[in-house]
Amino acid sequence: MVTHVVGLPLGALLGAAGWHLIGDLVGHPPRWVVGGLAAVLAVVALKLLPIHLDGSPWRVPREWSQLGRVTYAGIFGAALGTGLATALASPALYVLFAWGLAAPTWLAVWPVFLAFALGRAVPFAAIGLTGYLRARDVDDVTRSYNRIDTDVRGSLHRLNAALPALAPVEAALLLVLAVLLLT
Amino acid sequence: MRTTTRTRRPAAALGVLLIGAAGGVLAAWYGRAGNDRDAWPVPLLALVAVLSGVQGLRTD
Repeated sequence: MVTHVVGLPLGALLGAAGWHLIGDLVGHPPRWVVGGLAAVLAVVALKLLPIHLDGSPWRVPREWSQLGRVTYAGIFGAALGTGLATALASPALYVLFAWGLAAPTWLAVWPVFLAFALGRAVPFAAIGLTGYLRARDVDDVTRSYNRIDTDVRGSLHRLNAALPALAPVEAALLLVLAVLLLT
Repeated sequence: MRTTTRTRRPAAALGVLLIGAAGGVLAAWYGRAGNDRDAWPVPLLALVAVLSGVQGLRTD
């Protein structure tokens, strides 16, 4: 879990540097492009348009687990951190990519991508750590691992059930962002 | 009942701490940003990014 959580921000910063470098090389698109995209994706997030965004079809190959559990978890975390090598987290991720290209200064890019990694890493780490602390009192090692597994799965299941409620919040923020960038 | 109170107090303290920290970061950011138009949308984008990251847990 530790390498996974450390890999997430590293991957996010690597992705941020990549987008910013491309922007430097080919030219930064104007702010209104990001604003326009934010407006469209707000509508997509509300499912008012029949557009399904699934992200990149590439996934971290399971065979890479032969590198060892710790290394694999780190690579997997870094891949998730880029936001590219995984199923799409949410439509707003495209706005972040566009901002990475459009922002002319690095200072305006990295905090955004780091925030994405933290949003992904903190709940994951909190759930894992809570499961570990609850199971610590159990003497039997097997029972302890089973309990961690059950706790973590239960927490993730409850969180997954609550996630659709975030879509309208995200859409509202994207609309505010669109207004800010288009005016 | 006692257990619930015990759980809620640290959670509330953590909540206040996080909100305070976020307020401090925002004040520092906008204090530094001044009239820099490129820096102004960053906190809002960061908030959108956090929400996007949390929703990514669905795919983990």
